[in-house]
Amino acid sequence: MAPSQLRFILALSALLLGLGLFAPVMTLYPGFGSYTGIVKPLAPYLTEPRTFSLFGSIITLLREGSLFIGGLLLVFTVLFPIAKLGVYWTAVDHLAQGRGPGKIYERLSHLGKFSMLDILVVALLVIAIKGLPGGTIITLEWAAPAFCASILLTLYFSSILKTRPQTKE
Amino acid sequence: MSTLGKIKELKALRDSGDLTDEEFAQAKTRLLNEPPAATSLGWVYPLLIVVIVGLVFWVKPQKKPTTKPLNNDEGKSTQTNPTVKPQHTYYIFPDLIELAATNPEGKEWDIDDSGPDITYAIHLNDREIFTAPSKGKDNTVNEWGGMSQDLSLFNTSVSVEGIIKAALVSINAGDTLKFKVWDNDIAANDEAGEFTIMTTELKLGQTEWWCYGDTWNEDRDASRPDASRGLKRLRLRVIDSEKKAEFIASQLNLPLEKVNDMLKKLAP
Repeated sequence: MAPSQLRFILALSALLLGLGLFAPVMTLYPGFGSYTGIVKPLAPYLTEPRTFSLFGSIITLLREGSLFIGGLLLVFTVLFPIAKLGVYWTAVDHLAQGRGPGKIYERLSHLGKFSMLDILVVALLVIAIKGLPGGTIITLEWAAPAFCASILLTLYFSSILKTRPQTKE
Repeated sequence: MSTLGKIKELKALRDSGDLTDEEFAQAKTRLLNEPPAATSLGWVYPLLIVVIVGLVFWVKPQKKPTTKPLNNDEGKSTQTNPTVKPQHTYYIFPDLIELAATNPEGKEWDIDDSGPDITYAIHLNDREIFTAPSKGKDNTVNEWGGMSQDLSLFNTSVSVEGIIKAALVSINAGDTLKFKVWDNDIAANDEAGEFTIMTTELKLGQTEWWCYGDTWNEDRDASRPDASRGLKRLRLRVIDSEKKAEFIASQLNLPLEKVNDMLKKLAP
């Protein structure tokens, strides 16, 4: 695959990542079990559906003092995927110049196992959706598949970069 | 390796006799004339793309979610609301009625300057089939949820028997529905006005009707003045009787499965 095509995959992955982080990822329809009928007229704002983005939720977590989980999510769903894309782009530039992908790329390959954490975040999200009490419903919005697609595209890119012979453009 | 390092390596090769002076000079010249490897700034692009997408979503106002994921065909009034099917039954009720500041004669609704206590009745071919389950209180606008529930706070059970408070109407060609609206007073009721529609012209979901003199318009006509006397606006809700469970679930914010279970238990 030519470097220009590799760069296109990375740009597409970055776009999907941006959408996955900032577009609506889920809508919450609060439920209060048997008390829903009572809560609705007394405090309608509590039963109003709300939409969240992944980035917005992380910022809310950090603002509300959940520094550990907020920080963990910030690192592994925002910073690490962006850094990974940045390093891959640099690696493509190096390959286009007939050089090796670079030391950072090799180091990142060792950190590859941590990239599974962003998949874990999506898995946790699904578990949370299935296990909510009181009839609360969460529906996934289009940012969730965009985020997953970005991660899968990055994995695909990583696999083709590993098997690619070094060529000069 | 830096250029200086490479020159040192070449010098070592010359000193050891592996390179002649001429070869050393050529290699050195080539090395010095070789353009430096371009510094890659490619890592910035993914970051830029993500930041730009973030800015777009930050600037663009987000659309509010709909009130409920269930009950899709009974949302807000639109021009594309499907019409009712003949020989099919529907629950019908006005979920909002608004009156003008004065009654049809142009006088105050009540002598003590308080607002009207709005109530209504639904007539099918001039035969009363349903009356409002509750009335408004001193206000020119009132809403009805189309439901009431018997709540036992002691055992927190909810009974859904007769929970829908609406007229059950079968759609037949030529039938007319009339909504009579009045201000409910202790002494004498004040007629506010009436709205008539053919049952075959009803639309599923919500449709909002505005009164302009003797005519009614679906949705507000901003080019005409709103009614200044009597009945001003009526929002009609039509629910497919086969989707009773979805309606109850949406109004009470309960999971559909739970409502279905409750209805099954109550079925004779």
